[in-house]
Amino acid sequence: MKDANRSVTMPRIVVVYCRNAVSSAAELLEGPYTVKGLNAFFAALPCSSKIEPSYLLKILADGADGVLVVACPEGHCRFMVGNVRAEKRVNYVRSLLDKAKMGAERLTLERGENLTEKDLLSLAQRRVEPLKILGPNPMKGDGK
Amino acid sequence: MIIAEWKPLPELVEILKGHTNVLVVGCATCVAECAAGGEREVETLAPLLQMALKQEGRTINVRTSTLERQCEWEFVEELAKVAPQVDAIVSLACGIGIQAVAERFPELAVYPGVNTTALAIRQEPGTWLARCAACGDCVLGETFGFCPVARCAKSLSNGPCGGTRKNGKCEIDENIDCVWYQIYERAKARGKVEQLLKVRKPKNWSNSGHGGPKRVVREDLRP
Ligand code: SF4
Ligand code: SF4
Repeated sequence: MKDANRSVTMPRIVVVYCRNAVSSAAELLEGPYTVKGLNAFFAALPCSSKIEPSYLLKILADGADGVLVVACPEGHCRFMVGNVRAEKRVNYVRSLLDKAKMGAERLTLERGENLTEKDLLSLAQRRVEPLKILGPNPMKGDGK
Repeated sequence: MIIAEWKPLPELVEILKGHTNVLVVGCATCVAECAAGGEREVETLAPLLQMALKQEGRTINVRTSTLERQCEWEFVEELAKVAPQVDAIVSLACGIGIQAVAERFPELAVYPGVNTTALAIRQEPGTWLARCAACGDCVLGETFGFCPVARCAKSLSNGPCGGTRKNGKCEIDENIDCVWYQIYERAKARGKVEQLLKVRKPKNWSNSGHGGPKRVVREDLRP
């Protein structure tokens, strides 16, 4: 599945999404997805608030070009304020990425509901161009 | 708790010049409570440092460890195995923990990853406020439970200074309560305002930093 040539120019995007933001069919989107101009890795979380700054930074330190967190709309969190916490953490990590001169844009948050597999893929796809502009993650190749 | 804050990232990048194997070590006690140096912060700073250094063309191996308490020798000893494998340690503990690590591993460069700033309380999630300055001559009994040393911008023993804002905030910062206003309000509520008319004499500072480095000895507890 992996296309070595394409991954040189194609940003590698890690998508962590809240299981409750997607329709049941989309939950099947787990692991690498490297076709149709996309080099992405999908991971479902029980709630977007499960993200920790350390996880997000480790994903980037391991060489991913971008991380996309997908959360439920505000006010629609199954755990009340989980997605608000997720947004605060994303903003915090974005500020850290700026301080490390990595570019806050490597980490973004999107919100959605009843997302299908197609929706998730298109959210990931929307990150491709901005990440291309940002250029490859200098950590590439250093990852364990 | 003792509170601390991360040093600015550029400062950490600078001090790690010339190092390639770095151990970031945290403490699971006070600095974990104030979200500066617990396991979460250690695991956050480690990849961040790697990325910040990479921007300068430097690749470093970063190991991490978080001790139960970095100010206790028994716990510091846990680093004995990993210490020979690194050429520098960045400690996210308070100044006490950092010095304990530096004392146990004198052969290694040990750097502070944080600035230790105060003895504080967590007022609400995400907000910590100074409460004590370890002055060695506690006056809380005379000041209705509010510390004027740590909580008054001028550490006045006889306040307020005259700059208190109408809303009870300190003249130096509208987000900070004037502690002497608080002292007065509590005294009033307890019907004891007259107690504040008594002039408090200069404190005995010699029982803390002003008397040389503090040393406490309890013969009954010594080996
Ligand atoms: S008076 Fe001194 S010992 Fe008492 S709380 Fe204030 S600084 Fe701490
Ligand atoms: S306004 Fe109150 S807290 Fe501020 S310096 Fe004056 S007495 Fe101290």
